[in-house]
Amino acid sequence: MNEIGNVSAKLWEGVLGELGFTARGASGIYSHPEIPVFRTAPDSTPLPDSVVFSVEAGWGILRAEWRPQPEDHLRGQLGRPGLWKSCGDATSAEAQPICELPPALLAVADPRGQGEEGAWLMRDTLAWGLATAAGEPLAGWELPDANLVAACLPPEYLTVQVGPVLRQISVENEPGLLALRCGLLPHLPDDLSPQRRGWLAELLRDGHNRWRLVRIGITPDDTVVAEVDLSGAPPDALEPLLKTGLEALRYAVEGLVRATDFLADSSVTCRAVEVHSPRG
Amino acid sequence: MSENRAAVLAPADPVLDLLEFEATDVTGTHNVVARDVQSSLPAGAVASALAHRMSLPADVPWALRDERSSAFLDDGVAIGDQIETKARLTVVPKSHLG
Repeated sequence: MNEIGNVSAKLWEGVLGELGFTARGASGIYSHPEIPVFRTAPDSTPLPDSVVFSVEAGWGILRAEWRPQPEDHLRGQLGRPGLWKSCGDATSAEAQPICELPPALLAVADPRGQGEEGAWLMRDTLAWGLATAAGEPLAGWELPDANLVAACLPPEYLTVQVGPVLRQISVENEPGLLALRCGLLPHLPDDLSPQRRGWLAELLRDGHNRWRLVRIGITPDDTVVAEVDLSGAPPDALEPLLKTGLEALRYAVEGLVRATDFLADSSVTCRAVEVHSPRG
Repeated sequence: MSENRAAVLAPADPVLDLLEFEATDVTGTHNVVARDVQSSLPAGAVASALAHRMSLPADVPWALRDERSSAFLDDGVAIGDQIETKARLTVVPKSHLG
């Protein structure tokens, strides 16, 4: 399904053509050859890949087509500029890099309502998507206005409370970096059993795959972090990206934090977790 | 008097400092050691989460008081800007008499 709410990739056909995309028949899918796309483990060197753009359920989706070997989705993805993330099943031989653009952004970039300015915004946004596919820092990107960023992120929405559990989302807005980050766990306990570690990894992978825009991963010092990275985003795209990004991050944290806390608390005994593996 | 010692509240963005402190309710019935609390969390949210942990009524607004200074913490200000780690706090209802 490539068309919902009368929004389809065809709206930006001219812009897509400018950027080197070509239509794949009447499917509503546009293909761009040979973009270097990031990889995670074991070798993080970006490799050439064809990238397709389509609109699915109101979201603009850039997707790399070549599927690499199984990757550890929880390692090596955090901190990359932009919205690309590699999604897939832990047991699958496939993992797919994907970059998702929210409906609020597509609405602002809709040339039927916004005219040429909308088309330009989509061109800049797609160019940002292609430029960040390799996961490399962007040269020449100007730090967004701090007042604009603050206006999109009310302080009360940066605190997530689920019962007795609290998390604070931090806004990182410094040269070369614009990201919302939230620590899910300060550190993975060393004494966590392999079964619990497996359940925790499965939970985090599922959250990473499920929640659009949000990357979830484990840092080298074993901190579990959820993040939305908008580094390099075009200035006119920032408002819808920041607002939707904050919502997405809040949803992800709210959905994961209690189960994450429980699984990582080795002082809490749960036989069901110990005798069953997440893969049955 | 019962005692409830548990790791409550929040871990933690790695770029932020973490706090540990002890909190009791006004009756001394509940006692909670809060570890890995992000210092950037607003004190009001921390009070609410502690009240939840202590099973205190949810329809009452709660505040935190530093036992050392007897000062109430400002709800909207980061808790790390108002207390030192290892502080002792009391969870108190916000109430008006008369």
